[in-house]
This record gives sequence, C-alpha cells and structure tokens, in this order.
Amino acid sequence: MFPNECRILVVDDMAAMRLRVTNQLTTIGFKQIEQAGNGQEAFDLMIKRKEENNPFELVISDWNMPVLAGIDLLQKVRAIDDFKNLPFLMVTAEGEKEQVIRAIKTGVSDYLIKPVNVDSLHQKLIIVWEKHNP
Amino acid sequence: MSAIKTERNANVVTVNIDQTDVLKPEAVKQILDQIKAADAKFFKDLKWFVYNCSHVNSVGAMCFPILCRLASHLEQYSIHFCIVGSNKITDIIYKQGIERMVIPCASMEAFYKQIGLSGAPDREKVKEFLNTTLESVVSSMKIMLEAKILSSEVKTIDSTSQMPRIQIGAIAGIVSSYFNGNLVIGFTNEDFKAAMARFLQMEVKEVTAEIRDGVAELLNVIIGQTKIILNDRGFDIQQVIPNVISGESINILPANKQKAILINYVCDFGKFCIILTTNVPA
Repeated sequence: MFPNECRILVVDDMAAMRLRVTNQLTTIGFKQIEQAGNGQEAFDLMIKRKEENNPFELVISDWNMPVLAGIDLLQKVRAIDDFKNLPFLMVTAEGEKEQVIRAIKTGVSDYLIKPVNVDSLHQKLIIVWEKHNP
Repeated sequence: MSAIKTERNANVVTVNIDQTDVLKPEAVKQILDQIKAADAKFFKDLKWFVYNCSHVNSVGAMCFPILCRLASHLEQYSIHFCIVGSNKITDIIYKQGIERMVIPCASMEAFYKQIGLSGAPDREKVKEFLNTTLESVVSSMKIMLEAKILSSEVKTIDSTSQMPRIQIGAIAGIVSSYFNGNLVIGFTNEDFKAAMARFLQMEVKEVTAEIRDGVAELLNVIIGQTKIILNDRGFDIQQVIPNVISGESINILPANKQKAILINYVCDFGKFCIILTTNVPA
C-alpha cells in the first residue's frame, strides 16, 4: 500500500468534492495532500513539484472538468517520460463503457465510479499500489 | 441547402418531410451524404431509419433510386429503412418492386406499433426513469452521506402547489431518447449543513462557497447512477452540468400548465426534496 508520506494530488472542479476526497485520504492515513481545480492547474502543479524535486506519487482526478478534463490531463501526463508510470486514479460519475475503455487506452492505473466512500477508495488504492509495485 | 434535421427516439431516427424541397432528388441525396458523414455515435444501437412523408401527398418518382441507395447504405449497418406515407407513396414502392428494401408504412403510429415501441415522448419511460432515480437517491445518499431514508412521499405538483422550503439546491437538464426534462435537489440551509457534515466528514457551521458545490455533486452522482442503469436500456441520457441555486426561499415551479413530480424525503440527518419536470404530462 502507498506509504502515509506519499504525496498525493487531488483534482476536481468542485471544491466540496476535493475537500471530501482530501478528508477521506486523511482518514486512511495520508498526510501530504494537495488540490487542483482543473486539469491544467493540476498539470502545472505537477511540473512545478517535479522541478522542486518533490513530485507527486499519486494523482486522483475527476473526469468532467472545465479547462482541461481528467482524460486530457492523463494524456498530457503520460506524454512526459517522468510521469509514464505515475499512479493515476480516475473518478467518474458515469462509468460508461466507452469512457472506461478510453481511459484504459490512455494509460489510467484504475478508475472509480461515484459515489465513493472511504472503504472503496482505500480498496482501490491497494489495487493501484499493487499494480505499480508487483 | 441547410442540414436536414433528424429526430431520435430510442433506436429509431426519423426525418420529417414537411417541406417540398425535401421531396426533390437533390434533397434526398443531401440526406444520404449526411448519413455517410455521420459518426459511430449516430449508428450506435440504431435499428430503424424512417422517412416520414405523412404530411405530404406524394414523393417524386425520381427520388426513389436515391432512396434505394440510402436504404442500401443503411443496410450495411443492419439498419432498416422505412417510408411512412399515403397510399400514393405506398403504390409507387410496390410498383417499383422495392418494398423489401424500402418498407412502406401508413403512419408513424402504425410504424411504432409494428416495431413494438410507443411514440416519443414516452410516459412509461418517464416512470422507469423516476423509479430508477428513486433507487439512485437511496443508494447515493447511503454511500455519500451514510444516510438512511426514513420516509418518502411522491406527489404531482403544478404552478399553484405548496412547495417545501428550498434555500439551496442544484438543477440539471436531462435529454434522453424518450423525454427531456430537468431534475432538482433541494434543502433548507440547516438540513444542507447536516448533509454536508456527513459528506465531508467534518463539522459544517455555515454554507460557504466551497461547501455549496456539494449540492451539485450530490445531484451529479444521483443522475450518474441513473444513467449507468438506464443507458444500458437504450435511454441514451445526456445530462447538462448541474447549477447551484440558493436564496432565502426558492420556488421551483413547473412552467406553463405543465405538471411536475415532487418527492419529499425524510432521513436520519433531516429533510430534502427531488423535483422532476419532463415534457411528458405527469
């Protein structure tokens, strides 16, 4: 499982949802959580933290967002060598087959369909960790 | 010539022919070109393409070779082609011996009856949507808020009805194969604070801008749950991003003489309501 010191970026355009996921991660035991309000903001912050030698080790992103959607953020992230294997968890309210297939093809680590509670998030993080650390 | 409009109802696309220019061969050719250029989404789950000529007397004989090309193109995707029209039109189809390729039908009603669908908008489908939404509300509230619904009351309302007090809510438009409408969720500030305390797992003393978003997220999740179930049954629900509404006492009333459905919920953290308005008589 991801260590408690893992640096996590939570991306969602809805402030209440960012706060909810942050609180859920805190409940699980994580301590270093940052937030971004859309894909572009997230991408800029990821580059900044990488340049500071303090890169994120996990991204949890919503799908539907203005400016840059979750899937477009994933595409930009995977185009950068340093982020090719970065654990990236997508959260979606709809879970339509086409959406899921597109996310898998783009290189998502895994996805969660809303509503998400602490237990389902925790379970999914274990799966994502094992996938990236076989 | 402008793009020819089509209507979709479940697995049926209809072109309504009510202008004389659409009876000309070049207009039929334009429809063929439009279909050829259509993307995969257009063909997904499509079973019938209906050329509805019930509002015109006849279709020029010159149109039929192109209509056959259109039917043949659709056949590649296993889509049936049907012409709805008068006896005159049916006669031409039989005279030209193309009734297997271009299936004649006397009226749209007869067509829908033949394929076992009722015409849109569909009241039964609204019921199905409502029932699925009721289930989605219960499951979403349980997972998002760990809330238990204690009671619910469904009633029909119109613009004169006594409404529950709403101080904060969210509204989202819904477009589907069977009907269009919108869905609203509403709370009083006190009940919303109690709901958000559970949503965020923290104490909520006031409804700040940050907290306010939560009401849209609740509606988003409810519609998302409904979409997952019903889109597998051909509803093709498209949802508009929810907007937050807030004020001292908001009245959500159906416009004109339309009726809507109000569901009042009582749960273990307080009360809330859901309002469904559609283009189908309640």
